[in-house]
Amino acid sequence: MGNLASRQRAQTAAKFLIRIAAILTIAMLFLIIGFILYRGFWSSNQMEYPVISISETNMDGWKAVANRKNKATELTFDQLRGLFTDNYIDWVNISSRDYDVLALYPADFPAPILGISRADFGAFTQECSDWNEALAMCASTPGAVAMIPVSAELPATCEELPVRRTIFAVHPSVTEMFDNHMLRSLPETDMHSVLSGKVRSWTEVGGPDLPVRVVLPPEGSPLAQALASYVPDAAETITAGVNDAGSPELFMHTGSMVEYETALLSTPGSVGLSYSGSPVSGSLSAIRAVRTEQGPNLSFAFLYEAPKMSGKIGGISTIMINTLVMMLVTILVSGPLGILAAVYLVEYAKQGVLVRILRLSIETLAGIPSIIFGLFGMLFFVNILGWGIGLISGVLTLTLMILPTIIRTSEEALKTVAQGLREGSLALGATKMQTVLRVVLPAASSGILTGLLLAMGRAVGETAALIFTMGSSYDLVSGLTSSTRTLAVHIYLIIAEGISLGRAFATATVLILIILFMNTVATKIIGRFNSRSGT
Amino acid sequence: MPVSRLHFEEELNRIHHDVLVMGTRVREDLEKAVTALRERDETLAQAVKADDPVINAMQTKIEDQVAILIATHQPVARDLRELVATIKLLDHLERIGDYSVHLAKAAIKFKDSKRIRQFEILGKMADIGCIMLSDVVVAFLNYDPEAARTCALRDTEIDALHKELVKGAFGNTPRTEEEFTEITRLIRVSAFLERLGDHVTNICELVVYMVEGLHEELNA
Amino acid sequence: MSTSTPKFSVSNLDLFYGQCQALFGISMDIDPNSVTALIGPSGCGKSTFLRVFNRMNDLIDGVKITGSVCYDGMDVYSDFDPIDLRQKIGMVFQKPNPFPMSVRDNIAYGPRVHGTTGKKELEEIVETCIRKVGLWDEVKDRLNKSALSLSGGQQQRLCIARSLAVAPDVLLMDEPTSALDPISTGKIEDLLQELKKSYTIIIVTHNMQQAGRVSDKTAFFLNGVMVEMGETRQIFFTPTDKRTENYISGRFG
Repeated sequence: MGNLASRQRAQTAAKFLIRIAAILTIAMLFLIIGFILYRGFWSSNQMEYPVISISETNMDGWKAVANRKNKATELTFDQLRGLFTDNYIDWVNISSRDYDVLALYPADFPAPILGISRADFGAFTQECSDWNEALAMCASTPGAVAMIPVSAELPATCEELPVRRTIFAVHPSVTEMFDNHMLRSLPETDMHSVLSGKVRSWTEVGGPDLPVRVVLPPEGSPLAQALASYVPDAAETITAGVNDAGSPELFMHTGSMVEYETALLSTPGSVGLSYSGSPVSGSLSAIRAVRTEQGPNLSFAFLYEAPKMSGKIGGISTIMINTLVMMLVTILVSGPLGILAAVYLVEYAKQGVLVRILRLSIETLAGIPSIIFGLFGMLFFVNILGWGIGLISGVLTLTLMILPTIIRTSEEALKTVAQGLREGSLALGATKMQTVLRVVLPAASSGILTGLLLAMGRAVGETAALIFTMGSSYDLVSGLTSSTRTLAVHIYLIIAEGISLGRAFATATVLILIILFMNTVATKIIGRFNSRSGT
Repeated sequence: MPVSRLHFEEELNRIHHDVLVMGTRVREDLEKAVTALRERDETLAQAVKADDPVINAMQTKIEDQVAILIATHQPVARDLRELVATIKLLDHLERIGDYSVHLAKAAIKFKDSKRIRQFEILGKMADIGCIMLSDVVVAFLNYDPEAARTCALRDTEIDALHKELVKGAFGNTPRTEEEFTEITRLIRVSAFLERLGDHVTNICELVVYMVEGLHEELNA
Repeated sequence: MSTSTPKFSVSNLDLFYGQCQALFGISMDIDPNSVTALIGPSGCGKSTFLRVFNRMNDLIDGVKITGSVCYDGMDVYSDFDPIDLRQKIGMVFQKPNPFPMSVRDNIAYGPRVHGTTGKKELEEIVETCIRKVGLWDEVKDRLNKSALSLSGGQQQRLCIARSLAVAPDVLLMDEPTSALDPISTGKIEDLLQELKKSYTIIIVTHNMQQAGRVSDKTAFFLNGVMVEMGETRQIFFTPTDKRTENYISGRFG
């Protein structure tokens, strides 16, 4: 009886452990794939801006409009000014669109609104006789931006561009070094808290030991309206006139812009809103706003557009095709080689010392790290044979890398075929070759296919070895020696060159989906082989 | 030796044992019948008659054992011939047992007869028959065809004695109906004993068949 | 008793696996259109001997054969190409080994491998052979299904049909029913009685009753030597050699 109970306990414990292990594994799997897919489809970036998130569509009676094709959602003040001063040749750095900039303005547009003079206007600007002409040109030219009166109605192809020009201005004392540290940027939530009077001392948000003094712009002024819209709940605190006993005034009311600016300039610890480029902002310090921008990441356009500018803009269409071409050529080269080698080892070779040495070599090759294959490929195919960095060198290097796997799994698959089948075929008067081709290989096909799939998986994930041998060009592969970049290599380079994490995840998502698709298709094919052979 | 063969041989031994018991019993009954005849002993005769059902029961029991052994072990060659021969042997033994009964019945009927000479011949015939029976059962159980052949030779003696009795029976021509009946009865008993010899000869042929696979007629 | 030329004539056959001798001086004749059974304890060489006829022993390294084996008067080793030989002499194995293909493809395999490609011709062959083994009613609706979905007995009959498809004239059978249940065994034994009208059959069996039921002649092998061969009736009722008697009576093996 005691034995039975202890055995049952042991069994329950074992079952529990096994279940835990399984659940952990599946959880990890879902976690990894889920995270990548999530970041692939929905990007989340932290951006730092000199201006805070108050956007205006009325700058002293003028507004900025742009052709919809630019796909710019809003501009910072610097960007708007930059469009008129030749800082931007195209919209690539603003909205990743490759359209040349055309900055339009009616003859009566006052340049100081942009903080510059007429003389600063660049070569990409164009003066129009009136705002109608400017608007018409903007509507018909992708890449165009125009300054027009606020009241003007927009045609369908143009959209308003809100401009952010408000900065979080503080007294220089706030941004001084203290303890080897300098307050340079704040998340906008912290800025909200400071401006609405919830923060007493700058130490609470990582700044020096100074009391917070919020300077309120004169009532009715544009800045006041901006402040009110930015921190709605500050209004209550202000009107309530809350002040802690014993602490200096939190809010400082001012009656005029002059008073306002003086207060800002003279009060240590002061903070207020100001316009980027305005005279007073030159003497104040601006704290940069950090905000998390989220938005859809992977889009259809990503799949059919070709990459440009090292992948900064555009999609991955050529890279996808490159990857498929690489897979195809690698399979066509390594598949038959590996399968035939396995057939020789299992069916034809005399099981002696030579075969044992051969098997040992294959086993050894299977365990060598892929970077070493890359080194070999670089030396041999690229240099000695002189084929250079390109498709053929990369494919051959990959072939060497995955051949041992293919041979091994094919061997196992062939060994699994019952000897009785071979005898039966031979007894009917078939030759050995006929037996291998018509009976043994079909019977082993599902195992061989699985092996090929495994090997392909390894090849598709290769990065370092391929960079040295197959190259990094993202153009469509044009010949056997053309430098080619695959999806995995692209992911590596995008991160290594610091281009975009979001794009890396998007590419990773595409790669994962391709692999999932490949595996599903292959499993179905293997299933069909199995059902036809009756297992 | 494989276990199944051991089982088979165990069963075979059991059958041999039972055949020996039956054969011995038949011989004893025959001897009793002959004694009863010689000495006109009615009690002995009744004992022989009473024993007949026992002999018959033995036959059926051994026969069934043999059939079961064939069904369960599918014997071939000598084993099969032996079992087939055993069945036929049982038949012959049973017939011999019947003849003992006839002798016993005759013994009762001959209570008051004066034919000394003929009874002596009958006695001699029966003696030879008894010896032959013993010999052939032993030859059977020992798988000895030569002994069987030798045994079969003695049948000629019984045949000769039978002829002698028949010739001598009509020595003095019978006058009364009683005398006719007596002579007829004597001849019949002698015929039984002659038939008994034939049966034993048949058993000898079975021994040869069993061991050598030949159907040899002995003493044709 | 047939007085025609024997189908096979074996003369003084010795077989060596490397240094080890497995068959010693075998001599026998096989009559055409008969069933000959080879019996004997395990390891006595009967399967090895069977494989001499269709040269399946060639597939093993280091096998050497001396003596002669004649098939229709011609030497199996010097007058025949093994491929042609195996088309004329078919083999059925102990464990049914249908190919992992459809029933139809299994039967058509042999003819296809020998060059028959006509679709109608193949269809005819498939149907004829399946009918010959009495499997038609059971598989006529499943010709395209995998052969592995059939039961063991059906698979073995399929293998027999497959051998018949290349139009052999001899069938070698190595314990064809030892892996099957009694009913399937019975069906195949009945089949053998039918088949022997058109083919010469040599069957290795360790089941004595089977040899008794199906064969015309029986040969008893012991330790690589053929001890006795004769009419089955005689071997099983009045064997000449004491060793034969002991084996068939179950005293050993």
